[in-house]
Amino acid sequence: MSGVEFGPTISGKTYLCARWHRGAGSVNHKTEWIISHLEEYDVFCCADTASWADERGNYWSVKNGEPIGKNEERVAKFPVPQNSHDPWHGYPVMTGEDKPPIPLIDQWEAGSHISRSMAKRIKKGKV
Amino acid sequence: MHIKKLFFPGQFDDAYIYMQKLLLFDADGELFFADLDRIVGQIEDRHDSSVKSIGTHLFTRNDWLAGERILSLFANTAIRQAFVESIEGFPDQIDVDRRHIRKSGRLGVSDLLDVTVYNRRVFMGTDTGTYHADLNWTSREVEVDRAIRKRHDAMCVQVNAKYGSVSISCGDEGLFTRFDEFGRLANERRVADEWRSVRKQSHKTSWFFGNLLNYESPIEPMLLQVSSSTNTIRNPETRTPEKVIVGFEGDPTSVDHLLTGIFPMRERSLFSKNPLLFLFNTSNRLYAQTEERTFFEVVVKHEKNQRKLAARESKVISDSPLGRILDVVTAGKSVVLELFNSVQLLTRGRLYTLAEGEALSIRSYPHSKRFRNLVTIVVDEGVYVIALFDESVAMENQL
Repeated sequence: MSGVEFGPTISGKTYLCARWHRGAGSVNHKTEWIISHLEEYDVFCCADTASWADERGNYWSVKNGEPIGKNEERVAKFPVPQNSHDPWHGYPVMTGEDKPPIPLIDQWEAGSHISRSMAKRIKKGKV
Repeated sequence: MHIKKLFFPGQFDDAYIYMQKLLLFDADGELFFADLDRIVGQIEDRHDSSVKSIGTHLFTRNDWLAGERILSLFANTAIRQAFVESIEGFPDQIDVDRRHIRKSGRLGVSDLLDVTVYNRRVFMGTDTGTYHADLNWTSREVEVDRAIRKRHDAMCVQVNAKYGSVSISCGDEGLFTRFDEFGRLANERRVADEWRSVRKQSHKTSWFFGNLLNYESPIEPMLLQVSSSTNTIRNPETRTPEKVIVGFEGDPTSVDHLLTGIFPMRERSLFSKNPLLFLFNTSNRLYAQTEERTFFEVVVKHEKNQRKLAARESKVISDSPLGRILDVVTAGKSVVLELFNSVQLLTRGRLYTLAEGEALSIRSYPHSKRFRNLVTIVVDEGVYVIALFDESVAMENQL
């Protein structure tokens, strides 16, 4: 079993809480969720509902600026599946290495999903 | 450690101390300033004579607390004790009246990601590019009297200006440097009047033994060796000699070898697989936080007659549960840590809270003559100007 499956979402997507982002298998370069499976799915649903996507179709999300990853990451990325029938999965990101698009960060700030300082920290790749 | 604060209320993006003025950049693109000399003078006039001149020493003339005279005075325990008692009598925090915050003019640039002031010119990094404004500085006023100029289109997360150059870190768009920004080499060979694309990635830069460390990711610094003007260049105002860099030479070099010492011997071979959470440098030190949240300082030396850097000493400066460090600035022998929900001063193994909540900006002024023990912190409600004084450090002449 590669993880816990949820869905479909309102838009018909299925989601996999992948075991390899919860400490299973090789830990090299794998960030880890610290929130529950259901919360992880909820973070994905927020992105799906609000269409928080970049130009390539990857989803990005936040959980009100709260920590979601083992290294206190605040931002999650959900890469678009290569096969449209595959379930989505995602992981916390360090924004110094992988950053959501600036308009999306501005949208999160304007919608009070994150604070002004958190928006600045994400843009600067600090969190 | 004595910590005294001035608090300036208002919603600001950033703050910067320069030429006795506190510059305040608001979220709507307006620039304000506060005259620190005048404010401190009025505070001292309001309070009783026991704190007279203490505010000046703390907030506007830090240079008076360094040097042979103060050392000589502090050698007398009665004088030192009286001075420390006067500092203790100074209020821990003074809320500055809003009438002291005066408008300089409209910059028209908001959502600042970084600000620096160099040679009276304000450089601003934003997600729409890099801008500069030449301000009119007088003893009482700071005015925006010329239109600001857009200097580069790429999103800029950090501006670093020194040695006549300006380097802007633009993330995935790279590092760009403008050499001889102020035309000091007019009588020598001039460098091209344009930005030079130096590296493909740049998260931030910082000076290290006179050369530039470019962080290609938050934890991957590469050292860029500078080449400087061979002629003696003098500052036209102060007439003091100044270094003007004209380019970078050779290939960038890794400084990873300076960091292996912070890992136990058995883990060194795994260094590349044990990413650090945070890395930062001063002119001769590296600060690193590991995934286990241990915070290290690595003192680096320059081997004489060789262009090699070597780690002289690696030590844990905090293994207490700090939380993840987002940024560090130094103030004397102390470090100021930006954490997610607070700003902490770490000195001699002890932590002191400087501000609660999320900081929008934290700056120190270690190379300033008059403001070397000040820290400015911008939070949602306003700006703290914080004076740090440790008499035992002052005795070591290392304020």
